[in-house]
Amino acid sequence: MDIIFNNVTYKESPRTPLELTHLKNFSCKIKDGEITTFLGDSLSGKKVIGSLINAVIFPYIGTITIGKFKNDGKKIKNVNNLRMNIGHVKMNPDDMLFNKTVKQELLFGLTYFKYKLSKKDIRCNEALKLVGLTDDYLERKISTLSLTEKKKVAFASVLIFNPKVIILEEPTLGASSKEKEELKKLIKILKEKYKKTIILLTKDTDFAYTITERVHILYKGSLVSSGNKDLMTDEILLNTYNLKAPEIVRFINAAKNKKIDLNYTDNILDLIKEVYRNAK
Amino acid sequence: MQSNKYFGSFYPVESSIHKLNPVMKFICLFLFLIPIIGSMSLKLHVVILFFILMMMYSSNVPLRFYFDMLYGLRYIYIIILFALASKGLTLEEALVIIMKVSSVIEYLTLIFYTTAPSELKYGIEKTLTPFNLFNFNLGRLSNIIVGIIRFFPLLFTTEYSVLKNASERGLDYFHSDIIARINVLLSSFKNTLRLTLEKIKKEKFASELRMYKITKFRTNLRTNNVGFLDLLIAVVHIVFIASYVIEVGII
Repeated sequence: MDIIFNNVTYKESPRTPLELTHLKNFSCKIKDGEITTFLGDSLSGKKVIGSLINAVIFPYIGTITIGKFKNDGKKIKNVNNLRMNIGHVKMNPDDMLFNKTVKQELLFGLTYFKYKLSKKDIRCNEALKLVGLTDDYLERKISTLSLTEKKKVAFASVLIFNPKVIILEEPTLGASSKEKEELKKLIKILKEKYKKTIILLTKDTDFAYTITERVHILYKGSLVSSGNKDLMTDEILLNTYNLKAPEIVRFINAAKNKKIDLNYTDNILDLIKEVYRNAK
Repeated sequence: MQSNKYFGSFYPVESSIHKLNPVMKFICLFLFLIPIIGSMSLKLHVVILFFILMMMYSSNVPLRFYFDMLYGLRYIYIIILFALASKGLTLEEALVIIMKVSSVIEYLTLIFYTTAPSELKYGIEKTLTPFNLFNFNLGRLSNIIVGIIRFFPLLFTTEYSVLKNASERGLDYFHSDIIARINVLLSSFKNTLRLTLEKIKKEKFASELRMYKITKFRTNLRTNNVGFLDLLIAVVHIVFIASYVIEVGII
């Protein structure tokens, strides 16, 4: 399912002193089955992309086309047919989780999307397992969980209804390096095995560089640059928009400045091999 | 649905009214209530309403937010009018009573829009200081009052967040008809209430942490100072009281 933003402007509290423009004349296309990353500093406008795709907020100007659905401010008929294909994991799990227990949270989507499943418990266990939690969590209260655990439950509550598009807002925030590796593996499985479209909304260039295929850079609500992942090798461009180039890219660029010709790679082992080859 | 225009919510912009001392705001509120409750003069109420309108304008909060609040209470006015008509009051008297109700609502809205929750707590606590004589736990009392004031804005904000998330997972609100919306609101209310109460607890704790130090009574010194504008507004209130006193013939 392709997603097309056509000249979208989104404003919060329009025509008041607190008016805030999140997106300004924003146009882009997210291709089906790709991992697309929206990179941007704070207040760059990434935050509202997920909600606009899910049609829980409406654009001030412009339209968002999601498959056969259109979010242009008008009511959408059978909106659940759209939403069961879009899973949106928010940056702050407290903004997302509202049920009392983990089990209630996981079952919410299944219940309201009217999945006819006899083995819902097994589905819950599988969703938890995918994000690295055990079934002991099912009966736990959400308020007793740590931030990372809440983030995992939020991810599981989306995975459980098997959406075609998964939107991850700052997925690495507060995650340890081990958790980042696990997340990377999971995203790769979701993309390659289950053919999901993944949308990353992040400022973590290190994480995005290793998995993304397409990159869009946002700055103060406007799309400033788009391209494939090679865009993230341009340190000057990233610095201009208050972003940091991935560490591996900075190392290769530093080497290139010293006239050591290394090829760009996102794998640290490949880089070591390359350095070894050059040293020879 | 989500906005700052709920009764009791704070509207964070810069204005001269926002910078007024919170204690003076509450003292003025008490002074304001004397002519409002006592006087039946249409002229005085028109002047008071005009004064409130001026304060509303200087608060930099969009005026439509205040008027939306009044508009939201339109049914209450109709009920009041019917009740007054059945008691045989004249049109002028009915008008004065309606003006009294709207003045109080607008004045309270003005105070809430222009006073941050922590300032509100401080203002209430300081204004109630005379009750220390009766050994009241004023900190707790002001926390309860602020909790009650902040309850509805928090409830609506939480409700909006719950509705957004429920909609994203199959229980749609934003694209539904009125009956489906009522159903969604009812089924999400339990969770909303629980989350709101949790948030109020957290806010209470945060305001305690933010406001008090062991060495200093209060950290935000800027708002402690009573300025020229505070005194000017208090004088205007005293003038209102004086005209009321003249009206009833005490002087």
